[in-house]
Amino acid sequence: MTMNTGFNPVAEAGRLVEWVRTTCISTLKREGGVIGVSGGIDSATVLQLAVNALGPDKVIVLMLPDRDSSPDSAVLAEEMARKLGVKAFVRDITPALEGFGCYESRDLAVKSAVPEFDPATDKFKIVLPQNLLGEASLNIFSAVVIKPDGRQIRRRLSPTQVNEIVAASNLKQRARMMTLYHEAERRNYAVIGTGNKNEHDLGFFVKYGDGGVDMQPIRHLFKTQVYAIAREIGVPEEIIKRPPTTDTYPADTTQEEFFYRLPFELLDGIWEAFEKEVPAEKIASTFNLQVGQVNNVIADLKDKQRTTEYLRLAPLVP
Amino acid sequence: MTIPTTDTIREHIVGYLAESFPLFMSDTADDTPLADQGVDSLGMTNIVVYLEQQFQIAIDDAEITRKNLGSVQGIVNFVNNKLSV
Repeated sequence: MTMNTGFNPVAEAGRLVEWVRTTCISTLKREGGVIGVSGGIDSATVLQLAVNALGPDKVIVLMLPDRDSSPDSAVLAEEMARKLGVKAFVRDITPALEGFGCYESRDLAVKSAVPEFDPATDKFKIVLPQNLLGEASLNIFSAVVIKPDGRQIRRRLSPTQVNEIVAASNLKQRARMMTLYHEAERRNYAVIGTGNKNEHDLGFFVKYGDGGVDMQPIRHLFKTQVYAIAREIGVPEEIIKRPPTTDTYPADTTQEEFFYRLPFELLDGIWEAFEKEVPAEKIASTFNLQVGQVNNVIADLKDKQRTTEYLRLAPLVP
Repeated sequence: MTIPTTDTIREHIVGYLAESFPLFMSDTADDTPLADQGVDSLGMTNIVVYLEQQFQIAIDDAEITRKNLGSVQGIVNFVNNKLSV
């Protein structure tokens, strides 16, 4: 079920290819682009657009895993880079993160919330309450520790614990940003970002981390629109079918359980209709929901936009 | 423990919010969403911790809803109900 939005992925892909070429060469005056590729749909789509715009010899792919990254990510990213004929390099950022004290401070914070947590053997993830369509639950983070036997221990996190874990985890995105800029500057290339509208508008990015880039070709696109473009421009099916993950915490964490709380098809449909000022009653009937459920989703979107506004601000001056 | 009156509960809650959240205005209508008054998800976690300690109640994750904790009015009703059980 969907609202008829008039989005044309073929036309939009063509427009974006032209935009990437003009922005990189004419506006930024850079000779090519560097992209951090994770094996996910967003970076794969941006990579394909950049190759179409600049040519394979003017695009560099960096894979920047750390010790928590899924091995599948690198395999998919490497395979796509090989097919496109672009140069790809792997830089493991684990030693840098160890130097920053990332894992140590993060694991201490998790252990303070879940004393049973053993970083040597257990995995963990951070989640929000699910089922945004049910009772209108507020966004309170919990840690879920997964023991080797599969047993899960879930505890609510205090603000201090959330801050410690998020600050430590954000070091990963910032280490990646530093590495991308190192590669870009030595070649006089631009860093091409892979953030989409969901991430940007709701604050699901790291300021001066994955948000620290020169250009963002898909920042205005809902995730479902990114999928539509990916299908049109030939992003491999294995990448399109892969559930979007945060690739940040040791345990596999989908973006839905970590942040969005709804499948993208539903979230984007409701959000886009809301932006076009479609009445809640009409949205509800289109998606076979109650009006109250639609209002819950809209309230959650507004909360996230409002509380993450500072992430989107440039440095303030007097 | 003596059960506080609704007015006392409200007084404690409004006092705490005014002290903890610079954008909270104690003269705003009680049904104004706290999200409109500078309370984000971390702030909400602080409110939960405060309520548990101040009123000696246990709040389950499933109870952390917009209806129960999304406004001063919601919190006062929620705490009142919890204390009278």
